[in-house]
Amino acid sequence: MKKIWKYRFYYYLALPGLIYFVIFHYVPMGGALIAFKDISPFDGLQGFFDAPWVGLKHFERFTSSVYFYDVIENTLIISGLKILFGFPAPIIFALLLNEVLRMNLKRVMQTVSYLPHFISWVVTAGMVTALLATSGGLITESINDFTGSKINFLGNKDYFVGILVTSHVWKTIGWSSIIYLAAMSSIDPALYESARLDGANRLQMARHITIPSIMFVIVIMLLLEIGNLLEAGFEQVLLLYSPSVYKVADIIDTFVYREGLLALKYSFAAAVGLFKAVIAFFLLYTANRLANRLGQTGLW
Amino acid sequence: MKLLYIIFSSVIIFMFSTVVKADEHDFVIFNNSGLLQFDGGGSDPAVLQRVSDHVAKLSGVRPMVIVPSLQDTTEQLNLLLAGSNPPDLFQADWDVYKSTLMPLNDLLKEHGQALLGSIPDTSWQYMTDADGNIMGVPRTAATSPYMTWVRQDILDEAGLDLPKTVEDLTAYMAAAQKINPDFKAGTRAWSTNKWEEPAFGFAAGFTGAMSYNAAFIDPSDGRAKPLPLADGIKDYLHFMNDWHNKGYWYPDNWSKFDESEVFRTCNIAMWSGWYSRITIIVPKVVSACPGMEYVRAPIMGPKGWIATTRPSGTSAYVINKKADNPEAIMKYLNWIWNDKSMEGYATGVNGIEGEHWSYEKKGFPAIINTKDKSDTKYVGDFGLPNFPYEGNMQPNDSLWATHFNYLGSGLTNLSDSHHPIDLFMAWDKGRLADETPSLGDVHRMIAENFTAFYTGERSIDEYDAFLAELDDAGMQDWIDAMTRQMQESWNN
Repeated sequence: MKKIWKYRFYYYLALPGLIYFVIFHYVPMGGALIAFKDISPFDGLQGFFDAPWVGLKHFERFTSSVYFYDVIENTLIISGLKILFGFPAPIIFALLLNEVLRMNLKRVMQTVSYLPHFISWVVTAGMVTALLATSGGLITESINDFTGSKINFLGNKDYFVGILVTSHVWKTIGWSSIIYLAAMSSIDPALYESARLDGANRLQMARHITIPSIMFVIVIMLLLEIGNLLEAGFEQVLLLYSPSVYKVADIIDTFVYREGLLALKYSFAAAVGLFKAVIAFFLLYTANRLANRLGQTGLW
Repeated sequence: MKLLYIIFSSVIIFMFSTVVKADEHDFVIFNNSGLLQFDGGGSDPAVLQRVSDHVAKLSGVRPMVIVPSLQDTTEQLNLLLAGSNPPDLFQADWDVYKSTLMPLNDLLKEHGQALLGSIPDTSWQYMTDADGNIMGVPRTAATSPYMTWVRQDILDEAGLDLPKTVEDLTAYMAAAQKINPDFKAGTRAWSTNKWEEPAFGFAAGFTGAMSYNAAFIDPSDGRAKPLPLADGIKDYLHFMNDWHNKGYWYPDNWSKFDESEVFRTCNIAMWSGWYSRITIIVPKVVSACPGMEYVRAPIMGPKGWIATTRPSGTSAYVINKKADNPEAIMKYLNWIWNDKSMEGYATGVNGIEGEHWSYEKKGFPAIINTKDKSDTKYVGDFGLPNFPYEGNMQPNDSLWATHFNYLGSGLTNLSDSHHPIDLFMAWDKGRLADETPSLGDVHRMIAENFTAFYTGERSIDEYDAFLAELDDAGMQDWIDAMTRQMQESWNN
């Protein structure tokens, strides 16, 4: 208590942020109850209390859908591929950037790499649509010039997931590399000096010094990615998908969007959200235990 | 440290104590009418304020308008309605939002006489529930928006007459591609992630039946059944697939594309989709395609007209039951859609008379001179389109003249399209969804598989297997629910 009083101004500084999280993140957790009720969105707060209890009806509705396994599979595949390609990409980018010796060039490359992060998915989807348009799309027409055939990329199941992953990596590689660059900047330069004296080349220094030094950051970030395994990128998919690629593109979030939000079935949408949160918690818990067992730093 | 704390606390206190003066307004409109879909930039705030003052002076009431900011206005509307400050007036299917709406019978009687005079009686019957409550002001009437459009310049070059049958249309596409192999036929299967648009354009010609809900009554059991079960459906799918194999369809029809950019390529030889792509987009891009001219082509299939009339349905301007000032809302609607003067509608859509627009010819219909919205800096926030009323205001503007002329003539010409069996029936879609919990799955299955049949990804030989899959997904529940509603509708 004495220490708390001594450092009370620091706690005061943290208070607004804490209040924000309590009000906007913890208190709304009580709203998860609507997953077990049949709520009308127009009845307001009173409806929250008056709505009838329906137990697991909405969960049964979700799991009994003919598309339940499809949307789960698509969600896992798309987010799995995004982790597989999108997780190492910023690490590799950060490693490469770390080797650039000219500071001005390094800063310019860093800044340019951040820019896609600030472009909204609406604009990005417009760019992707324009580039891949069968008639007049830059990429499609270029391929046509070389091969003589026009491919409808956005309507082709074989290419659609690849488009999602590629556009996701393009958009996130720069911003995600920031944390790794920050971690690399804290590495003691004496380590590199010693390695150089011992005759290590750049690749060896990266392999034996840089990567082990930032491993704790890599593990933490990977744990957070695994916790988001069921977030496959709702906005991106919604803006790019169509009935011709539903089979590979319809994810949990787009399913809930159509069945829940547009159809005013908020209780159903809440039930699926709760389902996702429970699964995500187990995934995160398992991954964290695994990380701790392997001697790495976990989230807790 | 103490100084930092004091400064930080002062900033926080200042932020919380700052009082934002609310605009003085009588009610709030969420303008999801579709009028503002092409105007992403919004009105200049100063101009908007002046137009607001002008509207208040003329109408006697002052609305505040929320302009849709999300691509999907339904999602934004639902979020607003669930919030603490829901809009008072918005556009919606009244049967879906019924629990949140105010009946309008008394309001119309007291404050809506001009409004009652300006909207056809037949349109009001779609707004009336089983208890006789009028739940909204009709947004539209029965229309024929899915006609086939071909290019006069291509007809002239190929030496062909206007196609009248499906065979003529196929010959037209063959001739078009002889002139330019890049000429394609456009439609859109993706627009609402539904399957209806190509089917509304062609299916009835092969099946004699079409609707998004009950397409026909099966004489064998008297049940109301959807299009996938209609006799002749495989002929329709074969036609669509045949065109795909011949390369007539624009490949992106079945995925996402930018309509303006596609028309700008000048390669759309035929369009079978929502009419406003021809009446609004084409005039804007025609300068890039000299000579390009689209003409409406009513086409007959083996079982009748290929295009299907779109019922007016339950789309309406509705008043929230929580509205504090419903009388003001009705006065505003009465002014906007006045049966004696276009002043209200023209002001709402275009701005201040004399400054943003002027009369070329007063009366009913009126012809008005408008300025470009980039010059006036007012995009039409207070405008509420209402069909067929809006056809009475014809801009003296080449970019919009085509659209408004078509509203007055072509769109309401129902003589050359198939009339669905539910043309005069208002479906209670909320009840259909409640009685068919897997309705979303059924619609997705139809959308996905129809597209697969069109493109040949799935063989039409597997159609019976597809019907079995629809049954597993809950189609029979849907049929039962539709049959119940149709029978109740006939009994009433």
